[in-house]
Amino acid sequence: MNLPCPNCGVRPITEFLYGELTSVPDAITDADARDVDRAFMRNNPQGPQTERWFHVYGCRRWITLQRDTRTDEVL
Amino acid sequence: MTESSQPLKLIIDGQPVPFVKGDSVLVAMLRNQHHPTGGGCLCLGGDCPHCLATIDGVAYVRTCQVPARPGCVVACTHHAHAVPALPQTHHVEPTTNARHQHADVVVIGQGKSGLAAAELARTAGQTVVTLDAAQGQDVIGIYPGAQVVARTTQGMLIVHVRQEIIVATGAAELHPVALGNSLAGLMTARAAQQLQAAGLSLGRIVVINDANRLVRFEGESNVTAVVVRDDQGLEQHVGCDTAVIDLGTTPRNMLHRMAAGLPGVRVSVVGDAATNSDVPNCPAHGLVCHCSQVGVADLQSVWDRGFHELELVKRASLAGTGTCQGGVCLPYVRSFLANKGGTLQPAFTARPLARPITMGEVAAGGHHHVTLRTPLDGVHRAAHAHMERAGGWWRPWNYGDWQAEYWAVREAVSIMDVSTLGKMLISGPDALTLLDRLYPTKVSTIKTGMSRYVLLLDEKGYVLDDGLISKISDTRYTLTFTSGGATTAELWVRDWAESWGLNVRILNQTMSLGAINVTGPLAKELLARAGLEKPPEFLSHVEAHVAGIPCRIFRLSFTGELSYELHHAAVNAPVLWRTLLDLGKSLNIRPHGLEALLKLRLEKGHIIVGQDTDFDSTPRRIHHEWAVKLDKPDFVGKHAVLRTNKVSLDKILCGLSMEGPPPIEGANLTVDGNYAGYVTSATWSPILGKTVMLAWLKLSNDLAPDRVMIDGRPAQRTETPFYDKEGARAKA
Amino acid sequence: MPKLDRFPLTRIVSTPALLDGIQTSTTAIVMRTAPDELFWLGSPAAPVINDPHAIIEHDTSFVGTWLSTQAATAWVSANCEWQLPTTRPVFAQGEVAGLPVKLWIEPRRMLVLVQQPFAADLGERLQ
Repeated sequence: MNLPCPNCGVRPITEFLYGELTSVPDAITDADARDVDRAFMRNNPQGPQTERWFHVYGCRRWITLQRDTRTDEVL
Repeated sequence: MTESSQPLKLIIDGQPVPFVKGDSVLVAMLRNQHHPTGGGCLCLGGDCPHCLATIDGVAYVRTCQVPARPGCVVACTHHAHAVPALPQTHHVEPTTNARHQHADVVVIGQGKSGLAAAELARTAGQTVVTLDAAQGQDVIGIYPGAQVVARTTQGMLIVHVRQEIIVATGAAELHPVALGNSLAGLMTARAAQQLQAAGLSLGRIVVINDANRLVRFEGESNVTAVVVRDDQGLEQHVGCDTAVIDLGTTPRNMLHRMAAGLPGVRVSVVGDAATNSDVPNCPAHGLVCHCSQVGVADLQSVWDRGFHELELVKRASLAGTGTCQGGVCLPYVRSFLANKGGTLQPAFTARPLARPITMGEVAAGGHHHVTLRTPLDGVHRAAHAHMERAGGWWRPWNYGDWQAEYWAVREAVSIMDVSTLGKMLISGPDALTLLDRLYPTKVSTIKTGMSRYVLLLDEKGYVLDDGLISKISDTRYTLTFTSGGATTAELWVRDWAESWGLNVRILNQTMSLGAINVTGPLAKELLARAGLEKPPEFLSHVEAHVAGIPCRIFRLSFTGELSYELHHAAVNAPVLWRTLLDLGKSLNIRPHGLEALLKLRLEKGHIIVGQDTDFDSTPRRIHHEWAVKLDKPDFVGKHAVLRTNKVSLDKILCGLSMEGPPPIEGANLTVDGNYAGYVTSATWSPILGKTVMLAWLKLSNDLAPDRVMIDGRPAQRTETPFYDKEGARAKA
Repeated sequence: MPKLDRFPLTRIVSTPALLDGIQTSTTAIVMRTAPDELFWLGSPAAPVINDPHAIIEHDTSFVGTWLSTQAATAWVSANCEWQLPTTRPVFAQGEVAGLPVKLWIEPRRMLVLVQQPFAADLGERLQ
């Protein structure tokens, strides 16, 4: 599987480290509860998900992309 | 006799036998009355497991796919589908080459439809790679990427496909399922044609073209008769030497099933591979899957146990899990289930590998993960250091005498290569803002020229790493991290800097800077000899020359003795190292390795993040609350620390000491026979004459027991540091 | 094993806009490793950048070797999973032979660079 690095070009996924992008559901309003959610809960959607990947073997910068978790397709 | 007129020979089970140019190994064997596995319907198309043998030491080779070569050594190790023994001797496989190629389109199979598909793609201006088993390009797997991996005569070929994978692998012939279908003398129609073309005599032939009439094959080892049912339903014995099986075809679509659904690439199937299978009637008797020796009765037993879906029947019976991956049995397993359940279920999933490959072929093109080497690696090895892998780096464990190394630190002076430390430079108007929000310490109170030991927390309030912040100017700081944590630290710092949109520049200097720790009561004297008149005070840092080499010198201590850490351009590390050793000769200097360091630091009770800490180590649990300033407006992990501080403390990292030798790290603690925690670090302390340890200790009723048992020996909870409690030596 | 040489270079970390504005040279090799970072290798020396916060590091940790196009093609084809850019001269970086390499590709030759901790393995894996 490949990921498109905007700095380096298309590279195999093995060149990257995964960095999850946390997002707290709007329904949670209490500040403390939002904090707990951000630290411990993962949304694990079935479908498009915004992710961060760190390009260890190339530019050593973060990239942000959308991946469909069902097909692994980078959108 | 000239060489060219000598008969071509290969070795079968130790006997040289002649073959004819153009023979495959299988044809050569049949020419000499050898059947590789002793029996079973031969296809000569690479689809079945009946011609497996060991060729030149490699087992599970389909002999029909390998051209016979003079001197090639064949062993019939798969006789009756036996599993060949593993070599008992030390076996080193030759390196297999790997090649990468990139193409818009890959066409697998170069029969009529494959040739046409490739031509069409080329005409459309696409770059095309064709892979054809008949030309020795055997596709063994298709992976996301998409990558088509083939075994070729020149090694493994990895084709990276940009647009489309076209499967044009044709169709295989159906095999017979009936009693006696493991006899020799059975072959498919195409196989019979090929053997006749190669000049082999097949003797008396019976052609089976109606599965419903086939009752059984008879014979001892070779078929001598076929029993068929005639129009009246009566069994007829037909004597023969060869039974030719002409029951129709089934598409070779395994690779299509394997590739279908891969992201980012189109997958299509053309020609005979795209046709529907002739679905044979599954009879009541006979072997269905020869690889796993699964008969119709076994399928029935699996069905009776309640497995009715093809994927489950495959797993429960193992039919289709062997070397031919369902090439022979799949049509029959499907028809068996269709007879039982009324619907024809789609073929089971195909995953790599499609064919058995050798370990050398698996490893082709792969490399070990690199263990990093410091700029002093060659120097250590030249000094005959015993090198070990630690934290992703090669590090000196000792230089032959850890005790002398230890005492050099405690009583004289020593140096250690600490180039492995994570090192980072942060510059910019927002440098302070970044660090103050990132670290739980009040970075704003660090004065220019000063350093501070810091913890790095994650959002859960757990300890991620530790290290040093040093302030160079109002807009410039250096950071250090643990040896193993440098990459994690870099991505952590960059992530937050970016998320907060801060104006900073970040440089990871881990590999560009060498670092040497000068430690011991005579460290200052050594540096004076190296020309450093005014070394930094405790927890401050200066830029100065040491032995003529520009350094940034930090003053902290991990060993417990007076210590100076010299950071310098990587290229200068060997010269600086050698010069320090020369200048320190009369001070009885010697370098120390990790073995001594681990004792020195444990005597001081200094933790190693990752060894003594766990994934859920809060500052409170490790007694580092002093490093966390909860009156700061915010920092990463603050909310979590506030939250976890509200619950009662359940375990602590604490010091233990005991008489006698150290237990193994990881040893359990018990109190009154009950589990009470485990040892994270343990060592014999030469200077204290006892064993000192760090351990996780469970609290009961908010209290930590004072005494625990470890491996049946008592240990005493002991305040850290174990040695030089006031820290006078480090601050001297 | 090919002899590896040290390639001292200047690393400049600054804002993307300021790095975009740097005049490249016909003699020096200029590698844009990231939007906010640039490697300057060779003479003339790297130009002064108008950024008081820029990090200018004289980095002595890079080692490598020039390969002929033929040797480079063979090495890359055996060890590289991604496709090299086709323009020349061009900078590329990524994993080759399991190592994080920086490549400077000219019409007739290619420079392979790694940081020193990877040097021994590069030497072995170039064979």
